Amino acid sequence: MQLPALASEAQIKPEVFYETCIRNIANGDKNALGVLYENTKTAVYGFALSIVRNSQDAEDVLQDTFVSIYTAAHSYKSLGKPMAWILTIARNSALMKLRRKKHIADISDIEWNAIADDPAHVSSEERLVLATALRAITPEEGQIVMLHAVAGFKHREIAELLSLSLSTVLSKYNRALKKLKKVLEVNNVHAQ
Amino acid sequence: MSMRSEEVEAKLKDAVEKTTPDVFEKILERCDGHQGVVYAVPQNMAEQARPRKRKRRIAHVAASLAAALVLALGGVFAYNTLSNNSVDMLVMLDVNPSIEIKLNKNARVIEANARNQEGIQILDNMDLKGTHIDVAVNALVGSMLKYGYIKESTNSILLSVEGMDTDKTATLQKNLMDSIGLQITSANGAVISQNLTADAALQKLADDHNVSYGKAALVQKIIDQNSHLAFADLAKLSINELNLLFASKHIEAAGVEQQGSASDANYIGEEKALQKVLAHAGIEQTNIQYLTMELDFEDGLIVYDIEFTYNFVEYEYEVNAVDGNIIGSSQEKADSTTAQDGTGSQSAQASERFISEAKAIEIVEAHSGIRTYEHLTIELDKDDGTYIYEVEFHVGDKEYDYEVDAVTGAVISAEIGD
Repeated sequence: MQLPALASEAQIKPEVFYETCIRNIANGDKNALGVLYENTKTAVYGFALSIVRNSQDAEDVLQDTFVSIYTAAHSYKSLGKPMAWILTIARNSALMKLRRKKHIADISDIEWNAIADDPAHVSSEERLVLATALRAITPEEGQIVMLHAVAGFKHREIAELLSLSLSTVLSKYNRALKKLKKVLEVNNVHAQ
Repeated sequence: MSMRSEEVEAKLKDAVEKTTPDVFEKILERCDGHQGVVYAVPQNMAEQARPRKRKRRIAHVAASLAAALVLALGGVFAYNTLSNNSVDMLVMLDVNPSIEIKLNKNARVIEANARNQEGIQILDNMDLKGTHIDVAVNALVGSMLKYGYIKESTNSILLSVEGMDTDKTATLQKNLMDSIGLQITSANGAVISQNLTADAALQKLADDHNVSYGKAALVQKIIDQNSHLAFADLAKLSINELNLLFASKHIEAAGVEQQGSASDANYIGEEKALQKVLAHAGIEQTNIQYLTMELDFEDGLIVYDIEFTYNFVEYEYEVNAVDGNIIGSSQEKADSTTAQDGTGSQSAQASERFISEAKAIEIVEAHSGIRTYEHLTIELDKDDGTYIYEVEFHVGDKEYDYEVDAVTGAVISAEIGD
C-alpha cells in the first residue's frame, strides 16, 4: 500500500496512520519510514532536546530513534498508542546518550549558546527561543512542555508516559509555562 | 499585552519545527548498513519494567560479591600500596550512617572512618585499606543495604567527593554515582551527589552543628537559594528529607547531580494533600486553575505548599506533610488574568467589579436561548484593555463563541461556527 505523505491527507486518525506506517516498516518499507519520519520528527527532536539539552546530541538521538524504529518495527504490538511507543524509544535513546556523556545538569553556557549560534540552520530567533526556554526550566518540565506543545499529548497521556500523577504533570506544566512566559517576555520574543 | 499560554506553546512549537534538522539521509544509510548501536526497544508499554527487574537481581549479586572480595582481599591490597599515603581526595557517604574515606592519588583507600555510631556498624570489621574506591563504596553501600539503612521510607544516599582537582573529583563523582545508582535500584534508592573543595568556614559550620562536611555543604546549597531557611533547622533533617527538598524546590547548583527519586513514603503525598486542601476550601478539583504543589520546610516541619486559583481568588495552603493537617492558609483576591499578564494589583482591583462566571453564562443562555449544550468553557481574557469572558459551547456539530463584557455583562460578539 502506498502511503500518503501526511497524516492529514490520509483522512484517518493519526494513530491509525502511524500504526500503518510501522506495520509497513516492519516489512522493510523505507518509504514508510520516511513518511513516519516526516510526520513525527519535530515531536521526537523537541522531546529529545528537552532531555539532552543541546542540539548536537538531540540530532544524534533523532537519528538513533528512527534507526531503532526501523529495526524494531516488527516487535511493535498494536495498542493504539504508536506515538507513545516512538517517544519511549526516543526517551531511551536520549537517556542512553546522557549516560554515555555522563553529564546531566552541567550544561555550560558555551553549549547553550551553541544552540543559538549553530550556523547549520537559518533562523537565529527560533534557536534563541529554544535556548532561552530550555535554560529557564528543569529537564522534567521541558519534557512535559514539549510533549504537550509539540507532540500534542494530553496531560493524562504525558502522566502515563512519564509515570507521573496527573496533578504532578499539571502542576509542573503550569509552573513551566509561567517561567517560559516570563523569559520570553523579558527577551522580547513575543508572538506577533 | 502579555503572552497567553497558547502563544507560548505555539512559539515553542514553531521554534522546534524550524530547528529540527533533516537527518533522514543519514538514518537511511545507517538502516542499510545497520551501523551504530541500536537501543533496546520495549515490546509494548506494559513490558518496559521487565528487563529492569533482571538487572536489579544482577546488581544485588554483584554487591554481595564485591563485599566478600573486600573482606577476603583487603589485606593483600593494603600491602601493595602501603607506601602511597598522601591524601588526594575525600569521599563521604551520608545516609544516616556517615563515613569518610581518604584516598591517595590512585583512588585507593588510605583509611575509612565512621563519623557516627551507625557508621561504625557499617564499617564493621571491613579492612578497606588499599582497595580501589569503587570496590570500597560498593562494599559500604552493600552493608548499608544489608543493615536496612536504605529502605522504602528513607532511600537517599548523599555522595560527596572533595579534592583540589575539580576535574578529577567530578569524574570520580560521576563514576561512583553510576555504580551506587545501579547497586541500590533493588531498594528503589536515590543518590544525590556533589563535588566539593575545602572551605574552612563551611567546615566550622559542620563541626558546630555536628554534621558531616558533605551534609553541611548540601544544606548550605539549599539555603543559598532559600534565604528564609536556617542552617540549624535544616541540619536536623535526614539526607532523604534534604534530597526531597532539593528536588522539590528545583534547586540547581553546580556540581550537584540527582539520580532516582527521594522517598516520600513517610508523607501523605501530593494527591492526598491536595484533597485535604480542596475539602477544606469546599472546592471541586475540576474547577481550580494554576495549581502548583511543592514540598517546603516551614517552622521545623516538612510541608506541602499548595497554590491555586479559583473564581479569581488565589489560595495558598501549607499542609503538614506527615499528618496532613492544614497549618496555614491564605486567600487573596486576584483574577485569572493576573497570572497571565502580571499587571498585579491593577487587575486585582478590576476583578472586584467583574460579574461572576455563572452570571456570564446566564447572560449567554438568555441571549442564545440555548440551555442544553456540551463542552462549555469560560475564560476571562483582556482584549484591547477590556476584560471579557470568552464563552464557548457546542450544540451538535455547531460551535458557539460568545464574548461578554466582564464588567457590564454586555454581549460583545456572538458567533456560530462548525
